[in-house]
Amino acid sequence: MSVVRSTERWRGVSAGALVALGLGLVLSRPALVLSSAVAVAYAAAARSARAPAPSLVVEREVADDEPAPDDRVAVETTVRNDGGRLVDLRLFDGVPPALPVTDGAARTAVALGPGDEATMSYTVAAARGDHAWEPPTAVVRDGSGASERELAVEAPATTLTCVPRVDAAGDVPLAPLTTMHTGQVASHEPGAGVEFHSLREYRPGDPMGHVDWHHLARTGEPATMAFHAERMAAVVLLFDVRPAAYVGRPDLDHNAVEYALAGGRRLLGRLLDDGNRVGVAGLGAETCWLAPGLGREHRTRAEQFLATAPELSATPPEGTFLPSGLNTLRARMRGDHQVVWLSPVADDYAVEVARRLQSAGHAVTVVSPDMTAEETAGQRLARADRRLRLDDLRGAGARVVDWRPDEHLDVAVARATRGWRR
Amino acid sequence: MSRRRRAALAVGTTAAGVGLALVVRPGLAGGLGVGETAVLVLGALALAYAVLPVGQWRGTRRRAAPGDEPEVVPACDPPGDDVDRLFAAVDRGAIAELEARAKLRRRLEHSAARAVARRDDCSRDAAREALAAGTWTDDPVAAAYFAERQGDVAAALPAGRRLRFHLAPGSPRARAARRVVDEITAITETGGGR
Repeated sequence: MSVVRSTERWRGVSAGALVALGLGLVLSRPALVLSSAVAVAYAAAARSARAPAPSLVVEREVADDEPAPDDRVAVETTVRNDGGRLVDLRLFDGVPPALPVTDGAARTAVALGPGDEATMSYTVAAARGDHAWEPPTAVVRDGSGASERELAVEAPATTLTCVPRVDAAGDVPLAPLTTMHTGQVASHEPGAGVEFHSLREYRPGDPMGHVDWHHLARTGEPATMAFHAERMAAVVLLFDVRPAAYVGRPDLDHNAVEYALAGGRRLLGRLLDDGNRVGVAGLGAETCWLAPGLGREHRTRAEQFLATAPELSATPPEGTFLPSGLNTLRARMRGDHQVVWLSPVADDYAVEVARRLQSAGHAVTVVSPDMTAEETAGQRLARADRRLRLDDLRGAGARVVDWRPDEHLDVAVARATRGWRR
Repeated sequence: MSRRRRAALAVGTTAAGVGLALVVRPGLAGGLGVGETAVLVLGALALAYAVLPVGQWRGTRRRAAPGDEPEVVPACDPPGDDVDRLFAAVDRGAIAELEARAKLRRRLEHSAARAVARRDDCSRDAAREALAAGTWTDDPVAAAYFAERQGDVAAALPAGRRLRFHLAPGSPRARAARRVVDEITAITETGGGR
């Protein structure tokens, strides 16, 4: 379907014709009257003009439809005119909104005779996700430029899928809540592990390596060291993808959601490498859920999920967030699921999410990319508000990793961990 | 083209043709019986009617050329952009300024109450009372911003500084609001957290 509209380009000609006519009559100047006739002819031509309906055929070629993140991918879109002559044709290719064009232009302005072709060649930088090109937009004008027709030109489906690999981060800050399987997290109970828990009376058969010789030398009584039992954790990486979470900073390349997803990939890798069960969820206008699991197949599934789940979109969603989404996700969580809440904490509801999860018995760790700035009064206020929210979260017992996106996540975790107590 | 426009085009073209013919053969004019007065009236009407398209032209909204910039990934607003828009509306003194002022005040009150409650280890209600009483800060302009009686925010300043405050560019209430932001920022930087 096309839209036809007037460009208003010739509106002044009518005024000019009337002024010339009026002055010519009043001042008895025949030449002025004659010139108004010329202007009238132009105005009449403009009024009667109508932009043609083009017949265009589009072909598009993408050099690599499964690139790695940040790879440069060449795109060539060719438009052929299968109809009559088009004297003023402007074309805009439907580049997916999350893919920046790094070279060339995804638009052109040409005149095409019957059978002629125009090509738009440009390069995009690959970004996480499933990206689909929209049909190109064509704007056609008639010879006088008075009327234009805008339409979407049918094109073959073109997609590009980019799935970043999951790699490991440094130590992941897990609360001591654990599941019943042995793993990497120290629980509050004594058992097999490497972290000291308490001393108990020596029993025959205890390993010599666990005897506390200092205690024996000091008191003359043998005692055996007990350690925290290490259990496998079940962790849900919960991403804040509500409209309020899509905030950016002029000096950063990505928005908060993309940084959170990048951090989440590193956490996922480390947790899986340590033998923990890890799931992924998104809280936004739509929720999404991948139940905790482990192993190579689950790792591949989680990589795909993080990259291509439509709910974890790189650009702000169109729907409205409803708080009932959190209830939906909570209903899927088991009591022993720990939650890592990845959110910029840009509004008070982000704090509410953590509180409600805690009140349901889930240990919560907040990993928050800091997107605040201090150039304007509004930005300084937002920074102060975020600081207070993070304090509220700490006060409620959540572990908080305040992460500047221009530093490695490991650095932020190490800084946060120094202030935590068991 | 509509029927009315076709008719107008026909009339106009015919009139133009007659005019051209009269230029070539002026003698034909005698048969038309058009007096000088009629010519002057027609001329004046044409000049008056010229105002119409000029008025329409000036009243036409500017419209961007069709087609967004396909090369650029839309950027997300930074946190606090909504507050900056309120500041801009208050500074402009636009018709919507009153609503913007009220929204900005509510927003700042929410943040200030939370900051004061955290600093003083008191309830939000107690913090709001401190805001209303102006005891939450040493800055007299910021203190007056939340005062119950919404009068001159610079009333507590010495006369010279009060004059300079009001003469500075921008809305006095917007400048007072910025000082409130500065105070909230100072509270959170120096000891709002644990």
